Amino acid sequence: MTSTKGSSRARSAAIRLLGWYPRPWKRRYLVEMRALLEQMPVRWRQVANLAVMAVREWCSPRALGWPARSAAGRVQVVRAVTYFTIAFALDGIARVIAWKIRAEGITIIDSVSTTAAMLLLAVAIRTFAAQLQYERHKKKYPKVLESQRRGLIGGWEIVLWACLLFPYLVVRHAEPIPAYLSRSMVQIRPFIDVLQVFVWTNVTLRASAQTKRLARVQRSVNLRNLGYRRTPPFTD
Amino acid sequence: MPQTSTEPFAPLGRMSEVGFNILVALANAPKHGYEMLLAIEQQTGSQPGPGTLYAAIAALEERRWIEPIATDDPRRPYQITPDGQRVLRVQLAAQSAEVRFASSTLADA
Repeated sequence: MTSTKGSSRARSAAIRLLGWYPRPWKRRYLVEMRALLEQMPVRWRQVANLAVMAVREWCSPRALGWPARSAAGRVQVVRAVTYFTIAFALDGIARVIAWKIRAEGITIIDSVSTTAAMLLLAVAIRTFAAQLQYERHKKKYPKVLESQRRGLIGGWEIVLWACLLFPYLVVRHAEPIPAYLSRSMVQIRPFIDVLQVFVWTNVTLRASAQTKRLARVQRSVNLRNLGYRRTPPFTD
Repeated sequence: MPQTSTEPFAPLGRMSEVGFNILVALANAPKHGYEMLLAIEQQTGSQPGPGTLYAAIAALEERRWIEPIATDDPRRPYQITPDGQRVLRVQLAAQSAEVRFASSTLADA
Protein backbone atom coordinates (compact mmCIF):
# COMPACT_ATOMS: atom_id res chain seq x y z
CA MET A 1 0.00 0.00 0.00
CA THR A 2 1.40 3.41 -0.92
CA SER A 3 0.74 6.39 1.29
CA THR A 4 -0.89 9.37 -0.45
CA LYS A 5 0.70 11.90 1.93
CA GLY A 6 4.07 13.52 1.23
CA SER A 7 5.53 14.22 -2.16
CA SER A 8 5.71 11.59 -4.89
CA ARG A 9 8.88 13.23 -6.20
CA ALA A 10 10.44 13.05 -2.76
CA ARG A 11 9.41 9.40 -2.50
CA SER A 12 10.99 8.47 -5.83
CA ALA A 13 14.14 10.45 -4.91
CA ALA A 14 14.29 8.63 -1.58
CA ILE A 15 13.94 5.23 -3.26
CA ARG A 16 16.68 6.18 -5.73
CA LEU A 17 18.88 7.22 -2.82
CA LEU A 18 18.77 3.68 -1.46
CA GLY A 19 21.12 2.83 -4.31
CA TRP A 20 23.74 5.03 -2.63
CA TYR A 21 24.07 2.70 0.34
CA PRO A 22 26.99 0.23 0.51
CA ARG A 23 26.40 -3.19 -1.02
CA PRO A 24 26.32 -5.23 2.25
CA TRP A 25 23.71 -2.80 3.54
CA LYS A 26 21.61 -3.06 0.40
CA ARG A 27 21.70 -6.84 0.50
CA ARG A 28 20.39 -6.84 4.01
CA TYR A 29 17.99 -3.86 4.18
CA LEU A 30 17.14 -2.62 0.67
CA VAL A 31 13.85 -4.53 0.35
CA GLU A 32 12.68 -3.50 3.80
CA MET A 33 13.63 0.15 3.38
CA ARG A 34 11.94 0.32 0.00
CA ALA A 35 8.77 -1.19 1.52
CA LEU A 36 8.96 1.38 4.32
CA LEU A 37 9.39 4.31 1.91
CA GLU A 38 6.47 3.07 -0.19
CA GLN A 39 4.27 2.96 2.89
CA MET A 40 5.25 6.07 4.84
CA PRO A 41 4.64 9.71 3.85
CA VAL A 42 7.97 10.89 2.42
CA ARG A 43 9.01 14.53 2.51
CA TRP A 44 12.30 16.15 1.51
CA ARG A 45 13.44 16.02 5.13
CA GLN A 46 13.38 12.23 4.95
CA VAL A 47 15.29 12.33 1.66
CA ALA A 48 18.00 14.46 3.32
CA ASN A 49 18.09 12.02 6.23
CA LEU A 50 18.63 9.10 3.84
CA ALA A 51 21.43 10.96 2.03
CA VAL A 52 23.22 11.80 5.29
CA MET A 53 22.86 8.27 6.62
CA ALA A 54 24.12 6.81 3.31
CA VAL A 55 27.31 8.85 3.65
CA ARG A 56 27.56 7.76 7.29
CA GLU A 57 27.20 4.11 6.28
CA TRP A 58 29.99 4.47 3.75
CA CYS A 59 32.20 5.77 6.57
CA SER A 60 31.23 2.82 8.77
CA PRO A 61 33.08 -0.52 8.79
CA ARG A 62 29.73 -2.02 7.73
CA ALA A 63 30.43 -0.70 4.22
CA LEU A 64 33.27 -3.24 4.08
CA GLY A 65 31.12 -6.05 5.39
CA TRP A 66 32.26 -5.75 9.01
CA PRO A 67 30.07 -5.23 12.06
CA ALA A 68 30.13 -1.50 12.91
CA ARG A 69 31.47 -1.98 16.42
CA SER A 70 34.32 -4.28 15.42
CA ALA A 71 37.85 -3.12 15.98
CA ALA A 72 38.87 -5.15 12.92
CA GLY A 73 36.35 -3.25 10.80
CA ARG A 74 37.76 0.04 12.00
CA VAL A 75 41.22 -1.24 11.10
CA GLN A 76 40.06 -1.53 7.48
CA VAL A 77 38.91 2.10 7.45
CA VAL A 78 42.06 3.29 9.23
CA ARG A 79 44.15 1.31 6.73
CA ALA A 80 42.43 3.00 3.78
CA VAL A 81 43.00 6.44 5.33
CA THR A 82 46.64 5.53 6.02
CA TYR A 83 47.20 4.44 2.42
CA PHE A 84 45.76 7.72 1.21
CA THR A 85 47.98 9.70 3.59
CA ILE A 86 51.07 7.77 2.46
CA ALA A 87 50.09 8.34 -1.16
CA PHE A 88 49.62 12.06 -0.57
CA ALA A 89 52.93 12.35 1.29
CA LEU A 90 54.87 10.46 -1.43
CA ASP A 91 53.33 12.61 -4.13
CA GLY A 92 54.09 15.79 -2.20
CA ILE A 93 57.77 14.90 -1.72
CA ALA A 94 58.06 13.95 -5.39
CA ARG A 95 56.59 17.32 -6.36
CA VAL A 96 59.16 19.20 -4.26
CA ILE A 97 62.05 17.25 -5.82
CA ALA A 98 60.59 17.75 -9.30
CA TRP A 99 60.24 21.47 -8.65
CA LYS A 100 63.92 21.66 -7.67
CA ILE A 101 64.91 19.73 -10.82
CA ARG A 102 62.92 22.11 -12.99
CA ALA A 103 64.34 25.15 -11.15
CA GLU A 104 67.86 24.02 -11.98
CA GLY A 105 66.93 23.76 -15.63
CA ILE A 106 67.41 20.00 -15.91
CA THR A 107 65.23 18.50 -18.64
CA ILE A 108 63.99 14.95 -18.48
CA ILE A 109 64.88 13.10 -21.65
CA ASP A 110 62.34 10.74 -23.21
CA SER A 111 64.29 7.57 -22.46
CA VAL A 112 64.27 8.35 -18.69
CA SER A 113 60.51 8.93 -18.57
CA THR A 114 59.88 5.83 -20.70
CA THR A 115 62.08 3.71 -18.40
CA ALA A 116 60.27 5.02 -15.33
CA ALA A 117 56.90 4.21 -16.89
CA MET A 118 58.06 0.71 -17.85
CA LEU A 119 59.29 0.02 -14.30
CA LEU A 120 55.92 1.05 -12.98
CA LEU A 121 54.21 -1.20 -15.52
CA ALA A 122 56.34 -4.14 -14.31
CA VAL A 123 55.21 -3.54 -10.74
CA ALA A 124 51.62 -3.24 -11.93
CA ILE A 125 51.74 -6.57 -13.77
CA ARG A 126 53.35 -8.29 -10.79
CA THR A 127 50.71 -6.93 -8.39
CA PHE A 128 47.77 -7.92 -10.57
CA ALA A 129 49.27 -11.35 -11.22
CA ALA A 130 49.72 -11.89 -7.48
CA GLN A 131 46.16 -10.84 -6.78
CA LEU A 132 44.79 -13.14 -9.53
CA GLN A 133 46.88 -16.06 -8.30
CA TYR A 134 45.70 -15.46 -4.76
CA GLU A 135 42.03 -15.44 -5.82
CA ARG A 136 42.48 -18.66 -7.80
CA HIS A 137 44.19 -20.39 -4.86
CA LYS A 138 41.46 -19.19 -2.51
CA LYS A 139 38.79 -20.69 -4.74
CA LYS A 140 40.69 -23.95 -5.24
CA TYR A 141 41.93 -24.50 -1.68
CA PRO A 142 39.53 -22.68 0.64
CA LYS A 143 40.94 -24.32 3.78
CA VAL A 144 44.63 -23.80 3.08
CA LEU A 145 46.26 -21.39 5.51
CA GLU A 146 47.05 -17.94 4.16
CA SER A 147 50.71 -18.34 5.00
CA GLN A 148 50.96 -21.46 2.81
CA ARG A 149 49.59 -19.80 -0.29
CA ARG A 150 51.94 -18.93 -3.07
CA GLY A 151 52.05 -15.91 -5.32
CA LEU A 152 51.57 -13.28 -2.67
CA ILE A 153 53.80 -10.24 -2.62
CA GLY A 154 56.51 -10.37 0.01
CA GLY A 155 57.94 -7.57 2.14
CA TRP A 156 61.03 -7.09 -0.06
CA GLU A 157 58.81 -6.62 -3.10
CA ILE A 158 56.88 -3.86 -1.38
CA VAL A 159 60.15 -2.07 -0.66
CA LEU A 160 61.12 -2.56 -4.31
CA TRP A 161 57.77 -1.14 -5.36
CA ALA A 162 58.29 1.96 -3.21
CA CYS A 163 61.78 2.40 -4.69
CA LEU A 164 60.38 2.19 -8.22
CA LEU A 165 57.28 4.28 -7.74
CA PHE A 166 59.03 7.26 -6.23
CA PRO A 167 61.40 7.99 -9.19
CA TYR A 168 58.41 7.52 -11.49
CA LEU A 169 56.52 10.22 -9.57
CA VAL A 170 59.49 12.60 -9.65
CA VAL A 171 59.94 12.12 -13.40
CA ARG A 172 56.23 12.56 -14.00
CA HIS A 173 56.15 15.86 -12.12
CA ALA A 174 59.45 17.09 -13.56
CA GLU A 175 58.65 16.50 -17.22
CA PRO A 176 56.79 19.28 -19.07
CA ILE A 177 53.04 18.88 -19.45
CA PRO A 178 52.31 17.35 -22.88
CA ALA A 179 50.84 19.82 -25.37
CA TYR A 180 48.06 17.45 -26.43
CA LEU A 181 46.38 17.57 -22.99
CA SER A 182 43.31 19.79 -22.81
CA ARG A 183 43.07 22.58 -20.22
CA SER A 184 40.62 20.63 -18.06
CA MET A 185 42.86 17.56 -18.16
CA VAL A 186 45.80 19.68 -17.01
CA GLN A 187 43.69 20.93 -14.09
CA ILE A 188 42.64 17.47 -12.91
CA ARG A 189 46.08 15.91 -13.50
CA PRO A 190 47.32 16.43 -9.91
CA PHE A 191 44.24 14.63 -8.56
CA ILE A 192 44.78 11.74 -10.97
CA ASP A 193 48.41 11.50 -9.77
CA VAL A 194 47.37 11.22 -6.13
CA LEU A 195 44.63 8.75 -6.99
CA GLN A 196 47.10 6.67 -8.97
CA VAL A 197 49.54 6.46 -6.08
CA PHE A 198 46.72 5.63 -3.70
CA VAL A 199 45.43 2.83 -5.93
CA TRP A 200 48.87 1.27 -6.34
CA THR A 201 49.68 1.55 -2.65
CA ASN A 202 46.37 -0.03 -1.76
CA VAL A 203 46.49 -2.82 -4.34
CA THR A 204 50.08 -3.75 -3.63
CA LEU A 205 49.79 -3.76 0.15
CA ARG A 206 46.49 -5.63 -0.03
CA ALA A 207 48.12 -8.34 -2.15
CA SER A 208 50.88 -8.85 0.38
CA ALA A 209 51.07 -12.06 2.40
CA GLN A 210 51.27 -10.17 5.68
CA THR A 211 48.10 -8.20 5.00
CA LYS A 212 46.11 -11.29 4.06
CA ARG A 213 47.29 -13.19 7.11
CA LEU A 214 46.59 -10.24 9.39
CA ALA A 215 43.10 -9.75 7.95
CA ARG A 216 42.28 -13.41 8.50
CA VAL A 217 43.47 -13.37 12.10
CA GLN A 218 41.58 -10.15 12.79
CA ARG A 219 38.42 -11.54 11.30
CA SER A 220 38.48 -14.82 13.23
CA VAL A 221 39.26 -13.09 16.54
CA ASN A 222 36.57 -10.53 15.89
CA LEU A 223 33.90 -13.11 15.09
CA ARG A 224 34.86 -15.20 18.13
CA ASN A 225 34.66 -12.14 20.40
CA LEU A 226 31.24 -11.30 19.05
CA GLY A 227 30.10 -14.85 19.73
CA TYR A 228 28.98 -15.54 16.15
CA ARG A 229 28.15 -19.16 15.62
CA ARG A 230 26.90 -18.60 12.10
CA THR A 231 27.27 -15.98 9.36
CA PRO A 232 27.10 -12.48 10.85
CA PRO A 233 24.43 -10.14 9.43
CA PHE A 234 26.88 -8.00 7.50
CA THR A 235 29.07 -10.58 5.86
CA ASP A 236 29.41 -9.60 2.23
CA MET B 1 24.47 8.53 42.93
CA PRO B 2 22.28 6.86 40.29
CA GLN B 3 23.78 4.85 37.45
CA THR B 4 23.98 6.95 34.30
CA SER B 5 20.96 6.25 32.12
CA THR B 6 22.87 5.98 28.85
CA GLU B 7 25.30 3.29 30.04
CA PRO B 8 23.90 0.22 28.22
CA PHE B 9 23.30 2.27 25.08
CA ALA B 10 26.55 4.25 25.14
CA PRO B 11 28.25 2.10 22.45
CA LEU B 12 25.41 2.96 20.07
CA GLY B 13 26.59 6.59 19.99
CA ARG B 14 24.13 8.80 18.16
CA MET B 15 21.81 5.83 17.75
CA SER B 16 21.34 5.41 21.51
CA GLU B 17 18.11 7.41 21.78
CA VAL B 18 16.46 5.85 18.72
CA GLY B 19 17.77 2.43 19.79
CA PHE B 20 16.09 2.83 23.17
CA ASN B 21 12.85 3.95 21.49
CA ILE B 22 12.92 0.91 19.19
CA LEU B 23 13.36 -1.47 22.13
CA VAL B 24 10.41 0.18 23.89
CA ALA B 25 8.34 -0.06 20.69
CA LEU B 26 9.10 -3.77 20.35
CA ALA B 27 8.62 -4.55 24.05
CA ASN B 28 4.98 -5.61 23.74
CA ALA B 29 4.80 -7.02 20.17
CA PRO B 30 6.89 -7.51 17.01
CA LYS B 31 6.69 -4.60 14.56
CA HIS B 32 7.95 -3.75 11.09
CA GLY B 33 9.67 -0.48 10.16
CA TYR B 34 6.63 1.73 9.66
CA GLU B 35 4.90 0.43 12.80
CA MET B 36 8.10 1.23 14.71
CA LEU B 37 8.08 4.78 13.33
CA LEU B 38 4.45 5.26 14.42
CA ALA B 39 5.18 3.79 17.87
CA ILE B 40 8.21 6.07 18.29
CA GLU B 41 6.09 9.06 17.25
CA GLN B 42 3.59 8.07 19.92
CA GLN B 43 6.41 7.83 22.52
CA THR B 44 8.35 10.98 21.71
CA GLY B 45 6.12 13.16 19.55
CA SER B 46 8.45 13.00 16.54
CA GLN B 47 9.54 10.41 13.99
CA PRO B 48 13.19 9.61 13.25
CA GLY B 49 14.17 9.60 9.58
CA PRO B 50 14.07 6.26 7.73
CA GLY B 51 17.88 6.23 7.44
CA THR B 52 18.32 6.83 11.16
CA LEU B 53 15.72 4.17 11.97
CA TYR B 54 17.48 1.50 9.95
CA ALA B 55 20.94 2.49 11.21
CA ALA B 56 19.61 1.97 14.74
CA ILE B 57 17.94 -1.31 13.74
CA ALA B 58 21.27 -2.50 12.29
CA ALA B 59 23.11 -1.52 15.49
CA LEU B 60 20.57 -3.33 17.68
CA GLU B 61 20.59 -6.38 15.42
CA GLU B 62 24.38 -6.56 15.57
CA ARG B 63 24.15 -6.68 19.35
CA ARG B 64 21.42 -9.33 19.18
CA TRP B 65 19.02 -7.11 21.10
CA ILE B 66 16.41 -7.47 18.36
CA GLU B 67 16.00 -10.07 15.62
CA PRO B 68 14.03 -10.25 12.37
CA ILE B 69 11.13 -12.66 12.02
CA ALA B 70 11.25 -14.77 8.86
CA THR B 71 8.45 -13.80 6.49
CA ASP B 72 7.74 -13.38 2.79
CA ASP B 73 6.43 -9.86 3.37
CA PRO B 74 9.02 -7.22 2.36
CA ARG B 75 8.00 -5.30 5.51
CA ARG B 76 10.02 -7.60 7.74
CA PRO B 77 8.92 -7.50 11.39
CA TYR B 78 11.41 -7.46 14.26
CA GLN B 79 11.07 -8.77 17.79
CA ILE B 80 12.99 -8.04 20.95
CA THR B 81 15.31 -10.81 22.18
CA PRO B 82 15.82 -11.87 25.83
CA ASP B 83 19.10 -9.90 25.77
CA GLY B 84 17.22 -6.85 24.50
CA GLN B 85 14.61 -7.20 27.25
CA ARG B 86 17.36 -7.38 29.86
CA VAL B 87 19.06 -4.26 28.49
CA LEU B 88 15.75 -2.42 28.38
CA ARG B 89 15.01 -3.33 32.01
CA VAL B 90 18.46 -2.11 33.09
CA GLN B 91 17.95 1.11 31.16
CA LEU B 92 14.48 1.75 32.60
CA ALA B 93 15.72 1.04 36.14
CA ALA B 94 18.59 3.51 35.62
CA GLN B 95 16.22 6.16 34.28
CA SER B 96 13.82 5.65 37.20
CA ALA B 97 16.74 6.10 39.61
CA GLU B 98 17.71 9.30 37.81
CA VAL B 99 14.15 10.63 38.05
CA ARG B 100 14.00 9.83 41.78
CA PHE B 101 17.39 11.49 42.33
CA ALA B 102 16.35 14.60 40.36
CA SER B 103 13.01 14.78 42.21
CA SER B 104 14.72 14.56 45.61
CA THR B 105 17.22 17.26 44.56
CA LEU B 106 14.35 19.50 43.48
CA ALA B 107 12.50 18.83 46.74
CA ASP B 108 15.61 19.82 48.76
CA ALA B 109 15.95 23.12 46.87
